[in-house]
Amino acid sequence: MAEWPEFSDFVAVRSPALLRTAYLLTGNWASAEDLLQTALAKCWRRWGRLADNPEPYVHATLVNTFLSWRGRKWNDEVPTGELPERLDADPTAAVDEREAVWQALSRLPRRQRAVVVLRYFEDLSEAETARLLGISTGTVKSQSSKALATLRVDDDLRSDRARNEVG
Amino acid sequence: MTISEQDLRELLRERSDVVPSSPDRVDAVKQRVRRQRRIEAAAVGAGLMAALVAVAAVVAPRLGDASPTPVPPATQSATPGPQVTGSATYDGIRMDTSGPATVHGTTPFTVTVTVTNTTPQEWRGAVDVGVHRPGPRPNAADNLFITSPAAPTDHVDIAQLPDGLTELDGVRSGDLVLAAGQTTTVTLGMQRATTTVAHPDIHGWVPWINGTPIDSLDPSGFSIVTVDPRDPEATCASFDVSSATEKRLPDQLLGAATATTAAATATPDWTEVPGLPASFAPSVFGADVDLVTLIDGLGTFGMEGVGGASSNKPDLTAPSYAATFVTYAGISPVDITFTGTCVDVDSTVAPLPMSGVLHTYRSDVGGILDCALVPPARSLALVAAAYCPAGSRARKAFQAS
Repeated sequence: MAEWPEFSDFVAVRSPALLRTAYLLTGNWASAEDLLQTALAKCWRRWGRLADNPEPYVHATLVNTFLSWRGRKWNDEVPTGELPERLDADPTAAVDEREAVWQALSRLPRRQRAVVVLRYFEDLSEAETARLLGISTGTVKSQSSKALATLRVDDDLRSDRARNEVG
Repeated sequence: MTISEQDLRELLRERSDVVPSSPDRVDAVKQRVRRQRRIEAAAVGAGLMAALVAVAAVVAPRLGDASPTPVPPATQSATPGPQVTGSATYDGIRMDTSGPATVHGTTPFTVTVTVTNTTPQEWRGAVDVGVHRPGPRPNAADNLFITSPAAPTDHVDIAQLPDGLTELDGVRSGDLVLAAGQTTTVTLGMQRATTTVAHPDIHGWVPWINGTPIDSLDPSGFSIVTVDPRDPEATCASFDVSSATEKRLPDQLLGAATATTAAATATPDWTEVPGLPASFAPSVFGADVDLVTLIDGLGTFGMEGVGGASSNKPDLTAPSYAATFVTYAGISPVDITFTGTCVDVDSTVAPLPMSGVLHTYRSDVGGILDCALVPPARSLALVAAAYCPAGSRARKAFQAS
């Protein structure tokens, strides 16, 4: 297998930033590491042709891999069956709204979530986001708008907000 | 508080603030590359067969023509130019494929796949259609994209072929469920990104059965612990699985676990439990057996595949009430009895009949255990209960088991 010293350097320097993006896309660090390694493995094979600036390619590969990813099948064992009712605590009463937003984000369709991460975390422009995802700027606008609208009407958030307003 | 764009920005930065380190990432990536190459050595062979079938279906009728068929100029219609048709059968799933032979510019085009389940049982999976075209993909924006809203699809970056000069790229249908004998038609729309100059000629179509998503074919952690009687790294020209037995407790092994005592008002802080075995894979060899065939063979025994054993834990769902929980993941050993025509690695002799038992494992057993409850008997959860607090019902059940 060919050795690319620059690859190791790139991974050492750029991995933290890429892992952040992967985490925001997948919602957990284990999947993020898996996604990042999958994307890097794809890029490794073309590393010799990526010349001096591999970052855009790696970045795009990461996002596109996420979009095409169905995830590992996980045959969950359910040892607890039906969880018992707990009367001593309202399970959502004190949930922080930011946590609720984070959970609501995880329920967004993948492309909308990708648009949110690219636009609001990486601060890419609509044109840059469109180029990276291979969609039109109009689609970026509509996906972004739908994502925000979905977050604003998410049932969990709405109920949480209502509680806060009442309280 | 309403959700403003600024709120979102702050939340995303806050959530990704602390990045876990992984000093072995480069080695892990290289290991993945090696494994993928082993898979593709088998998978691309099957894909190219299908491509040859597809191309042959077009070329063969023309061989008898006195004069070559003129290729009409490209048009801007949805499916321009001459049509490539072909068919292939994988594991009893027959696919008839048709689409344009060449596509230029950014012209959208469609590929039609008729899928027939010829097996006597229900089939669940997806269909990929890859475009076999010359040249490596020059840049990341040079993807093919889905255009058909009628057929929910995923983009698939299939593979660069080993020659380094051609690449498969394509799309995937949504999930398909076909009863025995059922036929369905899937139309996959594709379009080159507008940033590219032109489509090169398409050599043919590679229809691809995707009973499990391509990404999960990554045999991360796949290991052959022992192979009797031959070299464990044998390469097999044929490989038939006659039985596959998944062992349950007490042979199942716990490979990862975390515990938390969650308050209803806080984000749970999962921590690794002490005392887990360092590794549950006694030894790991390269697995150069025909993995695709192996996985197909396992499918006949109701198993989706093997591999993936690692320290991965289940997705951690935040508990909605205060209690002590243990997440856990483990493996189930699998014995696979096979016969094949195989040759040892680096051997120059012809493949020889070979049979034996592969001892491998699957790792997709896991869950979240509430320590206040008694886990089912003979479940991996009962093993994980060893990491519940002393005196808890789960821990007592473990001690009594």
